[in-house]
Amino acid sequence: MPNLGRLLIVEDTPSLARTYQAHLKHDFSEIEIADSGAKAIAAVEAAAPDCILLDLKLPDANGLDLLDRWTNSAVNCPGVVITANGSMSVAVDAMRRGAVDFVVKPTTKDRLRTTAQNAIENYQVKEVVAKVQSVSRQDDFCGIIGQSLSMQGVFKSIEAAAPSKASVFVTGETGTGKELIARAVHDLSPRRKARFVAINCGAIPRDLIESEIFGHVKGAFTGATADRAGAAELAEGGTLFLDELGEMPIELQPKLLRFLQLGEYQRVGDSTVRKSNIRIVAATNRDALEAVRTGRLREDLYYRLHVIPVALPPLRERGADVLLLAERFLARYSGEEHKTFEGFSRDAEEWLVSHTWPGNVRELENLVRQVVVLKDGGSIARADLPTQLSTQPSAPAAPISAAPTIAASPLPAEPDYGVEPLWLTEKKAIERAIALSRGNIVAAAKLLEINPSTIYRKKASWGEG
Amino acid sequence: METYAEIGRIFLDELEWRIPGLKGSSDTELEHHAHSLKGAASNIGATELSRLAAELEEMARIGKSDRFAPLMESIETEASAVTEALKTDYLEA
Repeated sequence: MPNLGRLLIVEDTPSLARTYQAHLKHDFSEIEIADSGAKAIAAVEAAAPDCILLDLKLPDANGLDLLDRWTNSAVNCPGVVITANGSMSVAVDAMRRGAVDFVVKPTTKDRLRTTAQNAIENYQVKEVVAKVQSVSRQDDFCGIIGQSLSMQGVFKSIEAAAPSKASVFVTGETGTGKELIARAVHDLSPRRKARFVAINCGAIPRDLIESEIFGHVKGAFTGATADRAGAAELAEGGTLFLDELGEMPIELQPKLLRFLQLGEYQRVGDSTVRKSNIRIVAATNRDALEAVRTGRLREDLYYRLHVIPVALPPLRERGADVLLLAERFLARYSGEEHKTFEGFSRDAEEWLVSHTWPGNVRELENLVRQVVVLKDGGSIARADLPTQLSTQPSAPAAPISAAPTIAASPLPAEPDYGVEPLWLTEKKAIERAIALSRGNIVAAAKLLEINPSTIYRKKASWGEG
Repeated sequence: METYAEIGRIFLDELEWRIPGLKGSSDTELEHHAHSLKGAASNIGATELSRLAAELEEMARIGKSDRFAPLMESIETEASAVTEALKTDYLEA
C-alpha cells in the first residue's frame, strides 16, 4: 500500500470532498479537508502537505490565486487541480501557474489515485534532479575518482575542511583510500608547500613508533647510531597522517596528546622540548569508538583528533564508481604495459558491480592490474575475472582479519543462513542495476523492467535522494 | 457500499441547503451554487440534475436572468426525483 504522506483536499462541496477522501484514503496516511480558500491557506501554513488537491471554484477565493500564492511563497508540494468538464483552458492556466496536473470532474477512483501518485512521484523526481544538478560533480578530485553522491559528499567535506588547521579523522574499510583523502586535505590546504608525512601505526613495530613520530638522539636505544628527526619535525608546517591510529601503543598516546595540545614533543632519549606546527589527519579502518570503549584508544585523544570526521564509503556502496574506477585503472595499467584494451564486456561489468569488494578500491586496482599483465589486449570478459564471487582483500594494509568484530561493522550484518529483509535484497538489486547503467536511472529502470519513478520512490524510502 | 451511502447522505444534506440557496442570491452566488451542484450531482451519477445545474451556471454567468426561474423549477423537480431514488434504492434499503 503506497503511503504518499499527507494530502490536503480543498473542496467546498461536501459530497465531493468526501468522495475524494474515500478514493484516496489508502494512498495517504492523513487527509485534511479545507472547504474554503481561507482554511486552505491556514492549513498549508500550519504544515505543508505532501500533495494538494485543489478545486478551482471556492466560495471565498479563486483556486488560481491560491496556486499563485503557494508558488510564490515556495510551498514545497505538488498541487493537482480539479476542474469541471469543459473548462480545459482553466486547467491549462492552472498548470502554467504551478499546478502539476489536473483531473476533470466527474472523476473515477483509479483516475484520481493515479494522478495523485504520479504528481507526487514526478515532483520527487524533479526534486532529486534539482538536488543532483546543484551538486557540482567532480569525478576526479585530487586524484580520487568518484561520481557517487557519497563520494561527492566526501569531496565537499574535504574542500570545506582543508583550509583550516582542524584535525581530520578519516574512517573507512581497508582499501577505501584513506591516505588519498589525507593527501587531498594537505594538497588543498595552505600547507601544501610543506611536507606531507604518512605514518602507519599498524605497520611499524610498536617500540619504534615513538621514534618514527618524534625522532631520536644517538644512543637512545640499540641501533640508534645517529640523531634522527621524526615525522613531527619533517612535517613542520605541513601535514602528518597517522594511519591505523587504533594501533598506536597506549603508552605513547599521552605524548601524542600533549603534542596535539601544545605542539611540544621530545625526541626519544632527549630532554630538549621541541615545538612543531603541524596538522594531523588520523585514520582508522575500525570503529574508533569501539577502540575507546575497550581501552585501546584514549578518549581524550580520540576527541582531540575527531574534529572533522570523514567517512569513506566501501566500494560496494559506491554504485557506478566501480566501473569508472575500473576504466581508469585499465587505462593507467594498459598504458604502463604498452597494451591496448577495448574495455570491459557487458558480463564483466555485471560481475564488477555484483562483487562485494571486501578489499575495496585496492582490490579492484590489483585485479585490473593483474588482468592487464596476464592478457594481451582486446576486451576484458567475465572469464578474465576471478571465478569466486567473493575474494579476500588482496593486500590488506592492516590486520583487519584479526578483529572479527561483526557487531562493530557499520553495515547491517547479513544473517548466516542467507536470508535478509526483502527490502534489502530489493535495494541491492536496484543499486546493481543503477551501477551497471552508470548512474542512469532510466536505463536502470529498463533493466529492472520497472518505472523510473519507482526507483526514485525507493531511494527516497531508504533515506536517499 | 457504505461509503457510497455516506456520500449519498452528504449529498442529500447538501441539496437541502443548496437548492434554497439558488433562490434570491446574486448572479455570482447563483453561478457558484449551480457550479457546486453540477459537480456534486455528476459525482453521484445524477446526470440530468448535473446537466440542469450546468445550464443554470452558464445562464448566471452570462446574466440571462429570464432563464433562472424555469431552470430552478426543473432543478427542484429533478432534485426531488434524485432524492427519492437515492433514499429508496440505497439509503433505506
